[in-house]
Amino acid sequence: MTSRDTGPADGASLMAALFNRRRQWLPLSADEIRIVDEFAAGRLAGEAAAAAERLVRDNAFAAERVMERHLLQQAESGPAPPRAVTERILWEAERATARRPPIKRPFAAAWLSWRFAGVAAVAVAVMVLGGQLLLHPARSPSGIGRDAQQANNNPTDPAVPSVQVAMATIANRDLLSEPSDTRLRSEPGRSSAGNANLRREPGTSGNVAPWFYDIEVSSDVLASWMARARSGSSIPTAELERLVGGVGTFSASQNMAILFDEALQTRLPQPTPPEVPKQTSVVQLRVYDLRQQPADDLLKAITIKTPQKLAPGYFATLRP
Amino acid sequence: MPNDDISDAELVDLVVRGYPGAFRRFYQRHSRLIYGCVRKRANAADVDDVFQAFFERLAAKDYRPLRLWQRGTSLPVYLAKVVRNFVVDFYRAKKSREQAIGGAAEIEALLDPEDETLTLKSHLSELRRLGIRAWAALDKRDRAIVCDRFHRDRTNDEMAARFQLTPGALRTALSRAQARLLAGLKTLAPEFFADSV
Repeated sequence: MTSRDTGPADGASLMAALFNRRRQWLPLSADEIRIVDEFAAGRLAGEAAAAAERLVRDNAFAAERVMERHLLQQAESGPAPPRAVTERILWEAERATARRPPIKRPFAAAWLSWRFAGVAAVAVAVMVLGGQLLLHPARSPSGIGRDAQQANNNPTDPAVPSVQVAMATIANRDLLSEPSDTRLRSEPGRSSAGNANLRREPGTSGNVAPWFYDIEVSSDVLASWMARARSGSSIPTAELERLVGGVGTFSASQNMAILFDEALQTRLPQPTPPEVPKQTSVVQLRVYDLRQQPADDLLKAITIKTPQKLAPGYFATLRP
Repeated sequence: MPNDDISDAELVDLVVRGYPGAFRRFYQRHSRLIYGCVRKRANAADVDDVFQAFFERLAAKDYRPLRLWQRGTSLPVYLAKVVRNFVVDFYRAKKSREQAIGGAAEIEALLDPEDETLTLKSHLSELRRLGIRAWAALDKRDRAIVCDRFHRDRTNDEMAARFQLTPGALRTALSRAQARLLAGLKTLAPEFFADSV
């Protein structure tokens, strides 16, 4: 190869990327991106080129940008794929797409539609039940009318929408931490765990849908959920809404389930004698949306402790 | 299909979810890069076959390599690596068969590229590894010059004294050593370089 093949400036940017020191892992600003692009294109000289070289030598993202620019420059200067091949590939892909099942609706859309459907269903149910109760007040054998709150909390009542819950363990807890490499360049230091009380929904981020949320629940509530998870029963959706929000995306026919990590047991207060006041504390939970692609590895590592066939939807565990 | 300026991450998400038109958009955006990488790695006679086989394999695997792409890292750099592994596997499979191969369908059973779980760190490590191989093939003086300049960060004055060269001669020696290193790197990672003149 001669110097014509790479060009001195072209070579300078690749050399800088090659000898990147990885001292910085900082997302590039718009200005830095422009400088790196100019440098990779060989359009900088003198002090500007030296400054760009320093940036590429130090910052891993700048070095990656140089690699990307070189790849794209070579692709742009090379020939396009032959038309016949392109048509064949696109035709095959469209045929394959047509055979695939319909796409899932975005989480937020499903959640919203569930809320509207839920509100409408509840309104109709209230009107019908209210009319019935006025005309024929229901009585138990003891003569006491059935308590509405009790009815709502009865998970076995088929009229009350509920979600299956189960206990689970995870083989590799390392999967529960957020890998730093998945953080976005455009959002320096972004973490879904930024605010303990803020629940972020999937699909709200610019480029990457968050796949876990942090919430706080009282230890009493958590203990009650886990008790029902152990017994293999279900929990009314209204009660779980604080945990996963759009539980309406669950469908009873799909047998979707919320899994509770066995490790959560360590955060529950010890049982106390009847005369001792009960200790209640706040437990910080992290809830993973197992239906999102980043959770694939997590899903593989989870063992569900129930013989029932369930489709895991969410995994609630300790907040690291 | 959403607007044209969607990010690679959004586009890939649409592709893996089978959103109508998403694959076409992905193809329009990245096919040239993929074709270029195939062209740099495959024999000229096989380029179209390998290119088509790559997309067939992508669809057959339900876009698994795209699912494994680490969002936040560069998609073109990742794709270049995936293509490179695919081409290597293509020829490995071709070599392992005694009779001639007529098309991608025939080697389908043999093709099972490694899962790609690459991070930015691994992209840089890969480039560094190739760079060290190219550096190791240089002669002793070139190795020392490159090492002083890029690894030890010695100034030109220090290097000129060490190699007993005038500043002008040092610049020439440095430029030639760098060109030879890049020539070696080009044979190992041709997708980063222009075709030979």
